[in-house]
Amino acid sequence: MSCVSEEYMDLVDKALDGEITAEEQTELNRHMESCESCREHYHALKEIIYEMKEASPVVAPAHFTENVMKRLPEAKKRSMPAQWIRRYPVLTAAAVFLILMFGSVMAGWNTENDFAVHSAAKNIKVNSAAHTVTVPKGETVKGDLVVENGNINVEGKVEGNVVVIKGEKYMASAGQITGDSQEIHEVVEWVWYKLKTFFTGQEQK
Amino acid sequence: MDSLINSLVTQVKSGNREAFEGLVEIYKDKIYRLCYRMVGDRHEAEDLAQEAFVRAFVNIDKYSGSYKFSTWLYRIATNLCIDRLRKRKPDYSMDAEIPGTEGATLYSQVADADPLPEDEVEEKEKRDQLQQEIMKLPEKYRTAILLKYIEDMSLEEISSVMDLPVPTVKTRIHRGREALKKAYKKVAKSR
Repeated sequence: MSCVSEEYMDLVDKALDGEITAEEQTELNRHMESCESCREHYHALKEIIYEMKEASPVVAPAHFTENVMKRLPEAKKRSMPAQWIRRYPVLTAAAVFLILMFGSVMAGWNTENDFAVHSAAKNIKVNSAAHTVTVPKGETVKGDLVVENGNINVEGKVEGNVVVIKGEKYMASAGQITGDSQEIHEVVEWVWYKLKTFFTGQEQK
Repeated sequence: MDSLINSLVTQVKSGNREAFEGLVEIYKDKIYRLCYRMVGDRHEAEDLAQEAFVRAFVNIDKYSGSYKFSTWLYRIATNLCIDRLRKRKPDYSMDAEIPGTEGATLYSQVADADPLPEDEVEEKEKRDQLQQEIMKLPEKYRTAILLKYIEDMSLEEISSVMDLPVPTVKTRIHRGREALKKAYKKVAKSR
């Protein structure tokens, strides 16, 4: 006698999965009283599950932990900085950028000792031998004026910013600067100035 | 227990090797047992279980803590076992006769040496038989069956260990135990 009812097979699965309702269990029990094949099926599965759960306990062999510890790679290769980089990639990129930037600008501070003038104006007097730039009396210089490794004498008027890098600015009593004026003597100021011009693109040629 | 595990995991993440020793102690029996039931060989099981722990240690940063540490560990171990089974599939069977012996199989090599009382012997034979039948199951059914009945995991846990949806896990358990039943019945009749 064999039972082909899918329905009861599903009920058996449900019963074994512990998902059967009380009603369904009653129904299954009633069916199994009369159906030998379902009864046999149910009990065989139950026995297998029981046997599996009761299967003789297996424990890890002796010295297992010791052997695992021996197999671990030597002190984690990825040290703290490496972990830090993995965790904060953006910050790392920014830091690297700043270091490189700072480094190249620093190098510039130490090596660039040439006298240079950056200005769009034509009416300034440049004395390359004395490393001096003069804004003549009565003249008006339009636009910003940058002097590197030299001094500036302002006798006339500058309509813009004046920046003196590694040099002095002398103002005549009639001299006038409408924008900001700045003297840069320290590395830190220099770096700050370079960064500012890098980001705003204000440096004139 | 969970908070102890989490604290050990955190310590391992920050580079403390001794903390990892604690984790191995806690899980070694479970992981070893799973490997043994998967591959059916004690030496191979030991090697696989150790390898599972080594991988867990090396990749500890990849464990995010969004599910249980044990689930993650079981996943590493089952994947290792399945890989190993696939590699050896065609040429290696526990049922194969050992060359130069008469009828001895690897199972008889694994068997316990202690003499056992009569009914215990029968019980043990039955279980060995079952282990053999489990070994014959396709690995996808075997994994599901072992996690369910030997490791006593919930369907949800098995689903995250095997990286499969719950209904699929359920189907595999049903088919697996169906296959076991058929094989077992044959054995019982032949006795």
